[in-house]
Parts: sequence; C-alpha cells; structure tokens
Amino acid sequence: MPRSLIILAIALAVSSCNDCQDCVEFTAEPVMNLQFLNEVDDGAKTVIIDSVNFMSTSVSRHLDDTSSVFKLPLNMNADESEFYLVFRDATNDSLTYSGTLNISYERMYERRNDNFVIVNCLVNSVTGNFDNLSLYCADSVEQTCLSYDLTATIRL
Amino acid sequence: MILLQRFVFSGLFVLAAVAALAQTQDVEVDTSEVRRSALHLTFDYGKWLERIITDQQKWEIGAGFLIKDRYNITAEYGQAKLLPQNVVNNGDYEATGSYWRAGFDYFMKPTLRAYLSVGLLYARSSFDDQVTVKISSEIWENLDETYNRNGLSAQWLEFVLNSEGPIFKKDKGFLSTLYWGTKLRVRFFISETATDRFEIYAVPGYGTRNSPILLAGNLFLKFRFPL
Repeated sequence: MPRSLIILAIALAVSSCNDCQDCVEFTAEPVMNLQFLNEVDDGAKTVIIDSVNFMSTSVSRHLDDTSSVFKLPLNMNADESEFYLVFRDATNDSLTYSGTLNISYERMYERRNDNFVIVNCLVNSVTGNFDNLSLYCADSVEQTCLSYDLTATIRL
Repeated sequence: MILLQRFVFSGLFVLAAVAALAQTQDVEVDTSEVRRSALHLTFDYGKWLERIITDQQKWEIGAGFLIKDRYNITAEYGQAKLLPQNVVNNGDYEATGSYWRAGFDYFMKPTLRAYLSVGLLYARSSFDDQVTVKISSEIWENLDETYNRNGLSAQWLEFVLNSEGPIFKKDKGFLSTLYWGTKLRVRFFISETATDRFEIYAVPGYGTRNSPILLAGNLFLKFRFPL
C-alpha cells in the first residue's frame, strides 16, 4: 500500500476520535445550597420537596431526593430567582410546609480549564417568608457570597 | 474533522516547503552579480488553501522594497474571520477583522538552495468578536446568549525567518519574476483591548490567544520586479 494511503488512513482514524461537542447537552447551572435543620436541636432534618414553582421536582437531579441538603438551580437569564417550595417532613408525611425564597445576585461568566463557560452568581441577598432563615457563606455568617459557597438554612 | 483539516493543511505546508527547496536546488545564483534593488508583491496562497479546507476565511497580501539584494522594507495586510474550535466548548466564538504588519528583513547572501532572510515586524489588528454561550437548565429557561463586541484591537511583534526561491529557471521575462517560499513566524504578543465578561480568545492575524508566544507559517508566491 502506498505510504500516502497509510498516512491518510491514520489521519482518518485519528479524526474519528474527535470528541463530539453536541452529543451531550451541557448542564452546569449555578446553584445555591439549601439546608433544613431541626429547630429544637439544630440536627439535620430530612425532607421531601414535592414541588418547586409548581413543578414536580422529578425534573431536577438536584431536588429529586430525600435529604436535608439540596441545591437550588439559579436562573441564568435574570439577576434574581424566586422559588415557591412545597415540602414535607420525610419522617412524618402529615407535616407539610410551603414558602417562598427570593435570591438576588450578580451574574459573572467564567471559562473553566476544560473550555466550558459557566455562570457564577454572587449572591447579594436571600429573603423569604420562612420564620427561621439564616445564611452561611462557607463557615461564616455572611450574605454576600458566591452561590456555590452559600447555604440558606431553614429551621423547622 | 478538525484534526484531519490540520493534518491535510500541515501536509500541504511541508510538501510546498520541500518542493520550494527542491525547485531551487538546481537554480544557480550568480553571487558575483551587482546587487540590485527590487520591488516585490506577495500573495499568501497557504491562506487561500486554508479557506478551501477549513471554515476559516483569510487572505493576505504584501509588498516590499528590496535594497541592494539585502535590506528589505516590507508591509503586509490581511483580513480574517476566525472560528476557532474548542475555545468555548458549550458555545461558539468568532473573531473578524483586518490586520497589518510592517518591518524590515535582512537577506543573507544567496546560496544555491534558496534566498534566506530574517526580519522583525510590528503588527496590529482591528477586529470585532462574538461569543455565544449555551447552558441548559432543569427548571429555568436555558441560557443561550450571544455577546458582540466591536472596536477591539491587539498588537504584537513577529520574528520572521523567510526562505524563497525562483519557481522557473528563467533569466528574463515575466516568469523570471515569480518566486515562491515559506515564512516561519514567531509571534510575541504585546497587548489587547481590555474586555469584561469574556476574554479575547482569537485575534485576526495573530491566531488563538492561548499563549503569549505563537509559532505560525506562511506559504507565499512573490512577484519580484528588479529596478
């Protein structure tokens, strides 16, 4: 076989290994942590979130779980996200809760080392109609923080 | 496909360089002749080939004044639409604009194989770019935003190693003015317009902004008119 054909065959083989950028939809939304604690002893309170903004949580890998810690995906097309949450105590189905969380933030773009561009959200404020709502940025009590490091805690 | 395109283009570049050297092997240059000055025009046919093989749209021409076969004052102008792949994996990036370079070359004593020169050029590009980012969301509307930025600029220096030779074994006539050759360029980035939100990922005339030092090459045809 002529050498040029061998080189061409190798080139074709290499090119066929090229990664497909459109094969998988890129999902890397900015998220904020939401934690539920027991009001009495500050222990973790396991809950089931039934719906968020009247949508079933089955649509979200972040919310479709029985847990005490969730990740709330933030709206990348606006500088604020409003969540109307309906949830219940995982150990007692009769204890249901509902309320609203409003999160305002500043959006910033970042290109990761793998050349995917993500949106980071610098949270300015979190308000809501839950009685015991507090905010923690990593380990300190702060309100202005990147959403990934911020945890909104609700005591029930 | 990108790798294949790069492979084909690199192959063409090497073939053309080898062909240029092989062609000039048999051309004997009378080094004893009186040094002459010349005007020259160049056309980058490598970029023209690249237009056919890839999505990039580029062209480049140049002109110069060679003084006594040694000292060359040169200027180049080009336009490019760059669509670098894998710069934004979840979107697209495009940079469109023009650029120019100007500087000096020093031609070494002609050998049997080729005319060699080294040069230093200052280059500047004026361009617009466009960034598109796509991120899907599970509960909100997907992000699909495009940002256009106009009036960007960048500047850099180029160290150029040039090798060229006559295409035909002619002493007189139009065909004797035709040369071909290759240029190896080392680009040293100086500065660019400050931007917010996104960096500049590619500069027409320079290439992708992965590194402050970049290697590049040109294949060119030259019309050399003795004065």
